[in-house]
Amino acid sequence: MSAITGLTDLTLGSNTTTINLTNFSSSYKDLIISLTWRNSGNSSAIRVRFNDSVASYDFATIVTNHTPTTTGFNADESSTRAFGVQTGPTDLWQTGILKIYDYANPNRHKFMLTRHSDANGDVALVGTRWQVTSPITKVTIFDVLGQTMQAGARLRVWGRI
Amino acid sequence: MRLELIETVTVGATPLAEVSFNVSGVSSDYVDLYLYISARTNQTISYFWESLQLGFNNYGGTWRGITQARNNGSPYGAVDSSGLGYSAWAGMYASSNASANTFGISTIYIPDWRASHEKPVMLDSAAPQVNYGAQQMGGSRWLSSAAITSIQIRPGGSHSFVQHSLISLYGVSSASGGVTVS
Repeated sequence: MSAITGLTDLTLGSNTTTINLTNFSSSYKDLIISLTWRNSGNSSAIRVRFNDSVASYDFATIVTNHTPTTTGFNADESSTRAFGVQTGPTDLWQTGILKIYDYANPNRHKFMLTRHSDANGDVALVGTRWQVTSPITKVTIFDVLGQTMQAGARLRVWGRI
Repeated sequence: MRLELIETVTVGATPLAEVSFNVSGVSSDYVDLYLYISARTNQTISYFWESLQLGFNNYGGTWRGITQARNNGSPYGAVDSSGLGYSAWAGMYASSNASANTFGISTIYIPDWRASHEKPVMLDSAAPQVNYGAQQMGGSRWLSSAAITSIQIRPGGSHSFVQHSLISLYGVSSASGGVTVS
């Protein structure tokens, strides 16, 4: 048995503002999500919410964006920062990986680690704590700046036992 | 995801200037590729580390936008979006100036490598030493819509990999049906 099982592999057929992931088994320890995409505008900031909750996200960041590496921390946000803030041209293909740890465990807060590179002005490492013990049953990926992910974006999801 | 080994190269007693993987015949079942590298070079000019160069299709096409958050003694961040030419930086590895028996390590992620658009690449690497080390997280884009048919890895400056260096190529299998996307 493979320790990591593929759950979906989707290429977007049309421009999309929001991606919702639901109906995944609670039997995995972690969810691993890979997204390769480009945006409709020249700036974007991909965010994530769990279970449609709009509270209690803390995140810490290490980012390089045209300046020396910076670090930051945000508390009690309405969503968490999935990736860095992309400031490149509209045709900029970029990639990121999100790892959501122990997402079905009802006895602990939820943690996510992400890596992102837009290869134009930003690489980022982001750690998230969602101050909620409920199992994650829905993951929403969206652009807080209102951009759309263009057709051709590719989404992959895996579960790790 | 199943991560399956496609090919691995272990460097023997004779230094090796370049590792090249022919991927033109690799199964389309693999949606992504990973390079796992553990390497040391025979660079002796300066520094305990050396960057590698990554090329596709025998260094065809052009690359843009290495962005790196790097630490090799002092925090350092930089971006070069002006164009990189025929290859991308591919992490930091131990050189002959490094402590004996030390190697640099990295993973390089090449998602959607058969896509008909430019290809983003993401890497994490480290070259630990006795009292310090060099780390790098970065990304580049290969500005070509062509299919990737081969992958090249080599030390910069015409140096070579030394014995016990290990460069492996893995494929990530596709899958469906385990989650609803809306």
